[in-house]
Amino acid sequence: MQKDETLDAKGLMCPMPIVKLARKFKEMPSGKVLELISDDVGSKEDVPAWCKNTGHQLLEMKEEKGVFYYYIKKV
Amino acid sequence: MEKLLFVSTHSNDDPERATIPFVLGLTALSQGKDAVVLLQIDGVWMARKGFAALVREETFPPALDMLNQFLEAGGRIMVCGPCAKKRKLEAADLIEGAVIVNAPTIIKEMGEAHNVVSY
Repeated sequence: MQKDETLDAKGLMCPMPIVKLARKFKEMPSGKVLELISDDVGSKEDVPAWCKNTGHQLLEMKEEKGVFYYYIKKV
Repeated sequence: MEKLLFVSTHSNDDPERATIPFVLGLTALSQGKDAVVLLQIDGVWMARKGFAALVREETFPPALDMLNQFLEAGGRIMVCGPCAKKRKLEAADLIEGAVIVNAPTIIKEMGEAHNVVSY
């Protein structure tokens, strides 16, 4: 998956991954793709819900050895 | 903008109840909503300088972090005047950003809020 920026949120508990994500998106231009990395299991629900609530596009999510990778396009 | 009002009535007597309003308030702000936390009864202790550092619920990030991030993200903290007075808390005892309010202001904020949730 092509990405423009990466936000490493490993070690952060709910709700901090999406709080950091929201802050990051404020400074990113529309159309860019952010890779969000989290090891918080709750992010599996939080990130898709946040994207749905805010209108941003979750392009892909995957898990590797307990770490979750999300690719989100700023709309 | 949609506004949510969280009423918090606990502090270190129930760290989970004391932390959740700030977690949800911060989440609401991250989704572009307005969020207010109203501290009442023993919840007012959360606004006392240094007190939130004593409140820790393992399920969530530290309450102090949540409170600071909530304010930093634009959230507002209101402190019930009579509740603060009963506990001998004055404006000078409170963290920056916490505002003492009385019933008319509370009712105004509740009336404007899309939802009011009490913990």
